[in-house]
This record gives sequence, structure tokens and C-alpha cells, in this order.
Amino acid sequence: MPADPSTRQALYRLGQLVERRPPLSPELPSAAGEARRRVLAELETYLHRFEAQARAQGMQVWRAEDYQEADRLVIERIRASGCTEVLRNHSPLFDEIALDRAAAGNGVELIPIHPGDHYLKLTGAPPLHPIWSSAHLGLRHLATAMARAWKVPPSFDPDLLAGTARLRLRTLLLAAKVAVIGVHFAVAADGRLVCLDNDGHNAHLIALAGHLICLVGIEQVVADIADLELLIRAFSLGAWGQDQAHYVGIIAGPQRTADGPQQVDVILLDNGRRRALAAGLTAALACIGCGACHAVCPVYRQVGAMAYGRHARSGPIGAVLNPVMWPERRTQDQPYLSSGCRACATVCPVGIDLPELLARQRRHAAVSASWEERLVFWLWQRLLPYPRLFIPALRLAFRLVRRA
Amino acid sequence: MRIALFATCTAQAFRPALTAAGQKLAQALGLTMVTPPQTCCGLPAWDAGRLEPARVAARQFVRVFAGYDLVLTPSPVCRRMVCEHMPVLLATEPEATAATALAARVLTWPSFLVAHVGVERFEPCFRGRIDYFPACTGAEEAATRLLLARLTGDEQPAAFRQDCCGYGLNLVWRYPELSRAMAEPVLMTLRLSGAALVLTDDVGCLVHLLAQQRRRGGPVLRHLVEFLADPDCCRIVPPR
Amino acid sequence: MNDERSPLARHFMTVWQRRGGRIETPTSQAAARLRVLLTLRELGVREILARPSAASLLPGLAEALADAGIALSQPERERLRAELTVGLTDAAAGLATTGSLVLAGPSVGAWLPALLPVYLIVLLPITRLFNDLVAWQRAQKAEDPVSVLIIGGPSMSADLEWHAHTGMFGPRQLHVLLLPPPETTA
Repeated sequence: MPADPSTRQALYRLGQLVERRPPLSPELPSAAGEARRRVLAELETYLHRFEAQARAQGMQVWRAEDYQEADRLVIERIRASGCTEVLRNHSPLFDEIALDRAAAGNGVELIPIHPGDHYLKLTGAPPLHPIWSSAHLGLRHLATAMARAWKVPPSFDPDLLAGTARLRLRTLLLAAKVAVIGVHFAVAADGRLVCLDNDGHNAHLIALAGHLICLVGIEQVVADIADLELLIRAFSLGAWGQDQAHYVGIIAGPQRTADGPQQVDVILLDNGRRRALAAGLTAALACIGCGACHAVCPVYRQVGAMAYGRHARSGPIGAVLNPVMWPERRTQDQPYLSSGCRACATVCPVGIDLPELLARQRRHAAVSASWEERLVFWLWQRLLPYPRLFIPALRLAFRLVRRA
Repeated sequence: MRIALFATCTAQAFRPALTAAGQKLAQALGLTMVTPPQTCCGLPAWDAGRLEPARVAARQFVRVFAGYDLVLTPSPVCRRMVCEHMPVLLATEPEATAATALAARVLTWPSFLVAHVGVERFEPCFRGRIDYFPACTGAEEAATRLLLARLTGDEQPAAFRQDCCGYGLNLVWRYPELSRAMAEPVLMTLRLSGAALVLTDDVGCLVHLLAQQRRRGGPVLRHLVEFLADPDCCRIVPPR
Repeated sequence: MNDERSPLARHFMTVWQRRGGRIETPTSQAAARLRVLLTLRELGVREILARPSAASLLPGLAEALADAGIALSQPERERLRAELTVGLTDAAAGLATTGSLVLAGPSVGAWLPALLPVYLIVLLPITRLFNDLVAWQRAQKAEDPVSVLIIGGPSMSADLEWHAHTGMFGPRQLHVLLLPPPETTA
């Protein structure tokens, strides 16, 4: 169950980084949470508004019910462009819809331009965290993979390695034609799409690729610029502990000038989100994906992202959402991936009450619990009034568990 | 004032010395405290999402403790169950009023000692460095910090707070390997700290860490109450 | 600075500097021109990537650069000069609350001078300072929505075992010149 040592070490380090941050000002989570709830309460209205505004500025908009449909739409758009080498940014949405695999199966190579994701592609490793995807790759391992892939002399100097990667990625960027972009927010009031990062890869993709294929989860819609500004702050604090991401790209429709994107396609992805809303998990869909709850979660730090499923969400928020969004993937036990420590209660920049949601999801999971569990609690309940039986029974139960 | 000890099932099963230490401490402070026959507050069932068994336990808890003016517990985690979840669990039951009233009267030892006894009555005589591993739930308790500052003579006593130690009955029972693995970084930090003694304020963490530590050694782990009740560690002086 | 916006300027400067950015406030346009020239000379470059609107912000800058033998290259996709290490751009706005720069316009290609070079000089007229994005947006004439780039600092990456690497994609260093309003330069 626990992940490999290098993953655990990287996650432990990430946790230390996040725990050293100054606490969030109490106003931010409530204001940012309010901005999210405003949209989620009338999601269809805001989605329609976004669609209308996006179309008005010349974007093409599609809706994808599930991940297969999203994959098909993205690949169709790529095919229409006639390109077989396509760049992409960093987004957990790609893992969610298994886009890399689907594209490869259709003869399209999807090249991540985000350094971390690019390193993952070179080494074939799974991602670590929704923001810090590659921190678990050992320097030596990575250096060897780079030297092999790029035919450069191996070096273990991190700055030299990053410099080599920079040159490779820039060369790819300068030749960019089509880019698939998982966005962070979609603004309903004016139909624009928003990407945040610290290294600027999104801004480069937007400025250099002629055709953008943008992937948006339907819950990522925000009402207007004022809410967007608040949520940019919330995301930046949650992801990096800064009050402003170093690069924020806001994408409008196709450009009327010769440079910049001539075509912008938008795919709105459901893939279980409406199911989560219908199941009363609106509070959890307020998640903006900053990964702060992951970083502080002691369970996640031990098991790593893959324990939640290769194509599911990870961390406490994943443990809440996965069983409802993707019940077919044996995710029912995930709400129990928690020690009840409440470390996630105070770090969420949009104020999601994760301990309460986890408790709620356990109540749902309990309904379909195994007969062994039912038996254990039946016995437990029967013995409750008798201390002389209950205490020895508890001792015995623990001895059995420890031996297991 | 009628005081009862909410000993917790964990202490009764795995750390009887802690219950005895609680009684001894009360005696040393000149308090009359009883330990009524009891089992569990229902936290494991509540944590598992099984509300019915949790409700049965909650009803029993209210029956056992409703007659006391004050209920003391060596576990902030169990206290949270009683004070936060129990009133909700029993909201539509006949015990609702009693549960809400009881919630206000259940205190952890440090809160009680700071508010009703006074930290100046404790004079530590333990030689050696003391560190502190706070329970996740009790970490923000100001009273524990105050008491600890008194015991260590340190304004801001060293606290280890990177991680949960992995004790959560559901975790121990469903994912024993994971629960054991979670104790590792905590034990490692404790070992490297160079402290002679590490105090914790929750019996659950204590029992779990001790079970994992058995094979590896490291500083002595004790509950805060055991430290206070041990005349070799701490003297209790009469009130001024 | 007796400009009514000076509290904004002060706030912008504080936040920008706190993040390690370089910012200067030349007292006149002539001083600003000189500052650009000196910086370029210090950097020892003969050609820079410039956004067309940047040079026109400082009258006489283009001529002064030509006199100094520094060529202004403009971003066109076909003959993109990616090896140019210094960029010159103007900003549509400076946002005081977050200490960040706004690039906007009908063409995202015009962002390239701000994205490709290693060292970026940003000309920000003090009259273009706003409190936040909302205040800037409100001050815009009602037009179609445009693409916007907000820059809050250098291009940073920490994807290699947490080693911080500055200048991963975009500039390693951002150098802001806060330009005084034209009327004070008479």
C-alpha cells in the first residue's frame, strides 16, 4: 500500500514546504468559496452564458459527456489540423481522460511542454501531484533518461539539466502549430479561458501555437473577472504559496492578426461532474485543483497519487469525489483513506470542509460495506454495555489486526 | 463537584497505567474522581460512517456520564467525538438535551488543569530534555501549550507536528500496513530529536507509537497525565 | 511624485520589489531613455526584440538606439529571432494589489518580446497603474474581449527535485521602468 521510498520522500518534502507557508487569511477561503458556490448553484446557466460568449468571439465549443467522448473530440480536432505532433500543457484533466494514451493509439504524439510532465514522459513515470508532477523523479534517473532521449552527455547538475530541457522545449515551442491546453478557469461573463503557471509555458503556447484545443471541466466556470481575480489568488496561494502566479494567460477567441491562434476549440468535459452535483457534492466540486490538501495529507504522503487510481483525482478531494464521479473504478473505499487528522481542514483556499465531506462519503460507503465489516460492528455494538467483555475483545481484535 | 474519568476504551485495553495515573493525579490534587464502568464513545463507528452503532454508543455514553459535573479525558480525539459529533448524532433522540449539556462539561486533562487547578501547582523535577508530540485534534489546544511551557521551562516547547502518526481506528483496521508506515516518519523525528522523554496528549497516538516503536527503540514516550502523576517527574505543591 | 496615483505607484513598487523584481522611477522621459540605453549597453547587446508600441512610448528612443548601434527587431513568426537575449515591451497596465504587469492587445504575437528573451525591460507609464484587474477592465472601452497576459515575476520552475531554476521559458530578470506622465517632462 505505501508508495515507493522516493515518492514518499518527495511528498514529505512537499508537505514541509506547504506547512511552512503562512496561514491563509480567513477572508480568502470564504470569499473564494462564495465565488465557486455562486456558479455551481446555477451551473447550467453559467455554462450556457460561457458557451454563448465563447462562440460570439469565434471559438468553437463542444460538450463531452465522458472521457471517451473527450478523447475522440480532441483527436478529431487534431486530425482536422493535419498535425501528428501536438504540444500540450500541464493539467490533471489529461490524466483524467487518459489523453496521451488515446492520442498515441491514433497516431498522434502529444508532447508535454511543461517541464515536469515532459520529464515524466521521458522516464515513463506516473505523476506525483496535481501541480508538482515530477518532484519524485530522482536526479540521476532523470539525467540518464534525458541523455538517452536527447543524445546529450549525461550530467547530474540540476541547472545544466534544466538548461538542456529549456533548449529542447523552446525548440518545440517555436515550431508549435497545435496545442492542447487544459485550462484552469473559464469566464462566463466574457467567454475567455485562463491558465496559470510560474514558468510561463502556457503563455508561450498561447502566443506561439496557431490552433488551441482547450479542455475545460464544466465545474471550472467562474462568473466574471472579479471572481476570476479572487480565484487566481486562491489558486496561486494553494499551489505555490504565492499571492500571484508569475504567469496568467487569458485566452480570447481567434486572433484577427496573422500571429497568434487562428482557431480556438473548447471542449467542456462532464465525465461524472454532473453526477457529483446530483449526489449533493457541490461543496467538493468547488475544488480548483491547487493540490494544497494533497500536500498536507499524511495518508496521501504515504500512498501517493496512484493509490487513488491512475485516471482519478488524488488526495483527500479525490477520496471524496472519486466514488461518486467514477463508481465503476472500484473507488468505494477511498473515503476511508484518512486518519481523521483534519490536516486538510484549514489549508483549502476555497474553504472546502474536507473532513466533513469525507465523513459524509463514509456514511455512503457504509451502506454497501462487506459482511465482515457488518459483523464486526454488530459484535461491537452487542458488547458495548459490557466493559468486562468489550475491553478484552478490543485487545484481541487489535492483536489479530497487527498480526495480519 | 462530581468528577468522572472518561478513561477511553483505548487506555483501558492497551494502557491501563494511564487510567491509574489519572486516578492518582486526581487524588494528589485532592479531587474526588470516580471511574464509572464504561466502554467506548462510538468514534470508531462514527468514523466508519456507521451511524446506528455510533448512536448506541452515544446513548450509553450519555447514560454513564450525564450525572457528573465534569468529565475528564486523556484523549482530545475522543473529546471531539463527544463534543462535536454526539450532539448531532443524538439531535432527534430523547437524549438530545442531555448530550448537548454534557458536551460542554467534557474536558481534556490539560484544559481542566489550566482552568481549574493552575499550572503553578506543578513543579517538574525531571532532568533531561522533554519534547512533545501533539495529537492532530488537540494540536491547537492553548492549554496544552501552557502546561507544557510550565513543565519544560520553555516558553515555546518543541513540538513535532509534521504528520499524523497513523492512529485512527479505521486506518488501523482497514489499512494496517499504511497505519504502520505513517508512524515511521514520526518515530524517525522523535529518534533524531535527542529528547529523553516525549510527551503526548492523546492516548491513541501514545499506544500506536509505542506499538510501532517496540522494535526500534528511541526516547521514552508517555502521556502528559502519566508524567504529572509520577512523583519522580513532577511534584505537586499545595495551592497558594 | 505629486501625481494622484502615487499611492498606487508606491504599493506597486513595494510588492514588485518584495518579489525580487527590479524597478526604477526615472524622473523624466529623457532620463528613462537614458536608462534604457545604459541598461542595454551594460548588457552589451547589438539587437533586441521589441514590441512596436514600446519604442513609441518614449519619443526619441528609436533614434537614440539607432545612434547607439542597437537594432530593434520585431516579432514576426516567420523570422523569429529566438536567440535574442534582451526584450523591450510596454505594459497595458500595472496592477498594484498583486504587483503584476498586464500585456494586452489584439495580437498575442506581440507578447513574444516579453516571453522569449532572458532579460526583459518593461516600460510602464505611471498613468497606467490600476488597483487590480477589475479596475483596469472597467477603464477599458467596451470592446470585444482580448487575450491578456499577466506577469507577476520571472519564469520559475522547480520540477527537478525542487531545484529552483529561473528563466525556464521566459525571462530570468524583469526590469520595470515606471515612466512619468508626459506633462511633467516639459
